[in-house]
Amino acid sequence: MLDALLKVAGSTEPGFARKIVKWAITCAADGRFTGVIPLSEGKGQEYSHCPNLRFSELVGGGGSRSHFLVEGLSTLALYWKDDTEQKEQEKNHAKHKYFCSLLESASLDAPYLKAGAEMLKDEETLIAIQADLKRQKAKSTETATIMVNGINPLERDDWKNWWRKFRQTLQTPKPTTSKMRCFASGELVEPLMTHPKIKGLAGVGGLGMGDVLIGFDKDASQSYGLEQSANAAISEDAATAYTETLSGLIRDKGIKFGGAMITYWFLDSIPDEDDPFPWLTEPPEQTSAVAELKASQLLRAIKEGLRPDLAGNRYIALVLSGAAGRVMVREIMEGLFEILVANIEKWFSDLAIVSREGDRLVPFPKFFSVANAIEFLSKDGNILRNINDVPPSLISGLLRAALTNGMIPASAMSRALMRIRADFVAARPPLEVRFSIIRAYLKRKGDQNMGTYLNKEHPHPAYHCGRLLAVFARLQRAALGDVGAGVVQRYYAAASQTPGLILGRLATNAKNHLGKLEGGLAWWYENLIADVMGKIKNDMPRTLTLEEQSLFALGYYQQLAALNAGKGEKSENIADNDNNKEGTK
Amino acid sequence: MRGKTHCLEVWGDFACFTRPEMKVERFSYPVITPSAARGIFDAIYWKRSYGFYWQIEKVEILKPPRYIALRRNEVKDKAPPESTIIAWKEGKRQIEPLWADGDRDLLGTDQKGRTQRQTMALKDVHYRLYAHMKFRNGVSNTATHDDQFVRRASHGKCFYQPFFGCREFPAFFQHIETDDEKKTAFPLDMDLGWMLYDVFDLRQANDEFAHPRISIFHARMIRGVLNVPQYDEPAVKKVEEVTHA
Repeated sequence: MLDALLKVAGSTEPGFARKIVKWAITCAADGRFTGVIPLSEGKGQEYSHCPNLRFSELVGGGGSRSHFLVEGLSTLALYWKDDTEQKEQEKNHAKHKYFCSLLESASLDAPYLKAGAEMLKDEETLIAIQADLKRQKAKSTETATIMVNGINPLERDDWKNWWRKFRQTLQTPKPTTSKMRCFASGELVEPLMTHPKIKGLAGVGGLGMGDVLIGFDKDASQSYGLEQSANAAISEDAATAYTETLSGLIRDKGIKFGGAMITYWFLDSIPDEDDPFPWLTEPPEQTSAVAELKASQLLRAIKEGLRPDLAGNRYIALVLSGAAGRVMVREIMEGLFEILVANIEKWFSDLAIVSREGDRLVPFPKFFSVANAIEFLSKDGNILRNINDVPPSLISGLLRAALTNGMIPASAMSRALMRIRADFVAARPPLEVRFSIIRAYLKRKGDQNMGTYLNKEHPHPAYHCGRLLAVFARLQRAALGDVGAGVVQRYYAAASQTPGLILGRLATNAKNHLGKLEGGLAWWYENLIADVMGKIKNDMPRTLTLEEQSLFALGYYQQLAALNAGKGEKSENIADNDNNKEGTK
Repeated sequence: MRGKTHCLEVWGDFACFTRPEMKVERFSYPVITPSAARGIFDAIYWKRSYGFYWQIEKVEILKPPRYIALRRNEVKDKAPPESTIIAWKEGKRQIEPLWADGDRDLLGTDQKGRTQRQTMALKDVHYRLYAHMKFRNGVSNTATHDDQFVRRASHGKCFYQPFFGCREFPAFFQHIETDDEKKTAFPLDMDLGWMLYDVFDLRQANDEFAHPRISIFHARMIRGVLNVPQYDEPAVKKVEEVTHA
């Protein structure tokens, strides 16, 4: 994984990092304060090579240290909330002093910085800066830099050599320098003892200041007498490269799902429109159906040799979350771009299911909706839009299924089944996407008879038991109209678990219902019941396993859709065509 | 001097071949490492005085890698060295407990106590391992050692239970004599990047006081087969190979 990160790392250098700067405190060439400017209209300006100290460098040396050129407003301008503790204020004063001393030292190479230091050292000027910041409603945690006479030092290189030399003076000399093999580059290197932090996982259990991917601060994590990160030797250059790259990927391509952050990259860069991950997750303006079409087209283009640039490309996807300052890697998936696109197309096709009305397919659900449908049940039966509490393990499992054509997690199927049962008991129409999940689960378990529409020839009796319940329910409605708590509401849960006990009783009731219907309709229902029972034969199961219950659910749903589509005529034709098409795939 | 190539089929419910860079929140390599495979052969037949080490030749995966997330409460501390424990026994030093519970307020440090950690382990693993004995100083009776290994392995004998990366994940084994018994490898292509080869210098007769000399190699699995270079080959990157300008 690390070597793959290094392959896509841009130009990175220890002591420098990408930062977003919100404010610039400006002064004239003589150090006179001229105002506070919000950068990029208040959104913050990104600079790729800002001076940066690692945490160990910041806390080392006994006194308080600050970053150079870019710092928080509490350090740079002594701007904080009124209720800030005295101790915190003293600490910020010390850091401010250090910041000014850095500017003065750097002014040997970049003389204009001297004016910046003069401005920040003057107490009256500081009061003016604080007043301006307050007027512009700045927050003390936001970052700022200085600009002197229109010169933004972050856009210049004149201070960089000084900074490199200065940073060397902060390194603690090591008594012995033993070289080891770098796990990221394979080179013989001096291992970096503490690694920089990965940013961007604050929303998924991480810390605002960042989390370490490689860190061995506890005794139990260290082996063979190796200290700290010598347990997994990485050079400072490689460590800077992987942390900057991964932080950048999280920022630019991170997709937050519940308690997990998904990020990914391709070893060779690809155009944004060919990137298949957004199709799967949350396409901004296109529907998932278009996404599936795009996947098919792209796949065809690769197979026909029209896109040689994509054919050999590889992807790597990570599922990450934070845990007490550490980065927790939950999944690493990698493979060929071509296979990824094929798998995404397969994901859509396995999730395809007939609509409740039976006349069309349900629009393909987004990944977001699939995870949501499994996890949540709202009062009105609609999918909740907030998935922050979806367990990361479920997200990982589903993502693996989608990207690698793997199995749908059994827990996802059982949860979907449970939600369906709850929907029936509460007399709510269950979400169609829940049946999609069950169908995909069964398809990937090897059930090739599971079509998108009703399959009258399905070999498993559990499927036909579900069909039978749907017919009984429809018969009751035809005979009695709306009866409040109907057959489904009262018996679905029991029939789906013990059909042998329940369906016999319902068959007896069905005779009464048939007696209330007119001749033609009664005859039609009688034939339908006989047809379904003929498929069950003498194999009426006494109890159903969880997997068989999923077959029962689909049998019920698909039969209901067929009945809704106009006594089965229309949907059966579509179903035959569709299921035959699937069979030939 | 080397012995003949032996083949073992090994399987188990779980495995964790921890990537060194993800050792705290453990994440397993998708396939067994050469050092873990060596450990399995060592468990069946090895003594330091015999003067050889097991050279893994290749690994074939028979089932696709599948991960399982495990969470455990683990102590942050570790047991002290044996000398300290002896000193405790002799009453020369005050016994210090290994704290399972306690926080900074109670213990004065957050380096002790316990914390929850994740292990991304592999489940339902099945490999076929090929290895031979590599003698350091030349031995004439390699056949004797080979025969002893075959006898022990085919009778299911081992000095201790072989394991897959961690001792809590036992490995079961079967000695494979003929090609007829072999299942086809699971066809999987993967570039695994730099993988741990071994923690110790295999050319030395290491004892329990040996210093770590970590070696790595670029692991590529082709059609389910991971070919492992010989420890002496340049493909195995060792610590003493200083590149000259």
